[in-house]
Amino acid sequence: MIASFANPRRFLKLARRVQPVAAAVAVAALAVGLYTSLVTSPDDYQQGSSVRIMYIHVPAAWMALFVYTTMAGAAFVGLVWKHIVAELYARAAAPLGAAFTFICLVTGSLWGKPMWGAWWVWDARLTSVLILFFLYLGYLALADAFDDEQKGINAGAFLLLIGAVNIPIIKFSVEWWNTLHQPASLTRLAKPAIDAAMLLPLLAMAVGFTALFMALVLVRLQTEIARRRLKIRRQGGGA
Amino acid sequence: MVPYLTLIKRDLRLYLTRGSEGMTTLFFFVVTASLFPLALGGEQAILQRMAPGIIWVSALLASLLSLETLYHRDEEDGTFDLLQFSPVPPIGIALAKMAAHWIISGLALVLAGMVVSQMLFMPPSALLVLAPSLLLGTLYMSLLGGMGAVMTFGARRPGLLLALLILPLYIPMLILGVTAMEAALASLPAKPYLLLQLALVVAALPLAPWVTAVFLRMNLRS
Repeated sequence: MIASFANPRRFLKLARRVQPVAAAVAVAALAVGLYTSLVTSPDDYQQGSSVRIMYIHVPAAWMALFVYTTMAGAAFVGLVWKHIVAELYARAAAPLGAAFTFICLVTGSLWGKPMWGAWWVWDARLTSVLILFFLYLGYLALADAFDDEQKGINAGAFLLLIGAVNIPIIKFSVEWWNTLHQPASLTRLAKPAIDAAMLLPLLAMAVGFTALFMALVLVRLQTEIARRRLKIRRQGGGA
Repeated sequence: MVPYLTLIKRDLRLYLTRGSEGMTTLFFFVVTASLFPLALGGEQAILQRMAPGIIWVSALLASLLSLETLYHRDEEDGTFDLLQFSPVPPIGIALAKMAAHWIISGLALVLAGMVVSQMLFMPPSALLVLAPSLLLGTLYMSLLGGMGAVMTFGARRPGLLLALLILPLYIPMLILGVTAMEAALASLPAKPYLLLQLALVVAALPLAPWVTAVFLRMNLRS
């Protein structure tokens, strides 16, 4: 299935169909999620209304990791099979991933000031997410630094694969080092350590963020493919 | 073995005959490290507390500085392309380059680090940890740095890009190195941290030259 989408035309056909659906899901889920999380969900017994920051912070953090993981996966596919769409995917997703990571860092900081009494602590989780942000920035700088585009794509792909070491470190940082950041409340195997009244808005936000990412990344991919075609046309080749 | 040694010798000779440039890395390291006592005030307790961090960050920056002279100059004048017609495989070229870089910046930095540590009032007993820890750290820097340098061949501002690219990857080594030295200063066992540092080097030893070789070949083609 992956191989058949190496043909940009076939991929575009699917993308044009999926993109509006993803956009609609994003709008609906974000509307429900924002309303329930900011208005109807209960205050935390300790944190008060500050807990509402969590509904943005946690999905953004999930997306930051998810986007990087997909980029690293696409980089691998692109390097091994010279899969054009996979190669373009990493470049299309990188600014979005960087934005999610930035949102995660900023909201975490806003939450940390009233709760921990500091905008920033050098906790393992915070530090590793900061490194993830640097990796995104490094990738963006590297991918755009060459006159020969393919070179930027290849160099960026290797950086993504090397930096993927950081992903499990972020995931398990709250378990390996017992520091300030609380461990995960949601795991697949155990019953969630969070009440349904808070869980549902959180899940709605997570769905909304994922759909929003899909909608945006598909637009960016379509643009990237169109830009590629234009360039080939201008150089006098067939498209 | 002979072609490898020839390659390393060539780099060393070039580096040293460039006169002042050859010593720049070392000077940079010493100057940067001695800026800290001036900026923080010469109080012994503060400096002793900060010595590990000062030495590591200065060494990191100095090592980064020498990469450009060693790699990008050879790329500009076409040496790398010529080298690939030699009997040495690309991975061998990468290893020889990294070895040369380590001898120039790594070994020299370890020796200079000993002197600087005394300027920052580190107790002499901590040197027994500082030396192996810096030795491993500089090896890791040479391995990753060489890879990063070759990855940025043909980029518009390779030096700046290289720093942005490689510094985040150095962070684990930096943390382990500083923790090892802090443990030594607190008279705790530093061996676990040294072993973890060794593990990082052992992991990078096969991977970094291999990635570098891939990029050398790619550069030749384009």
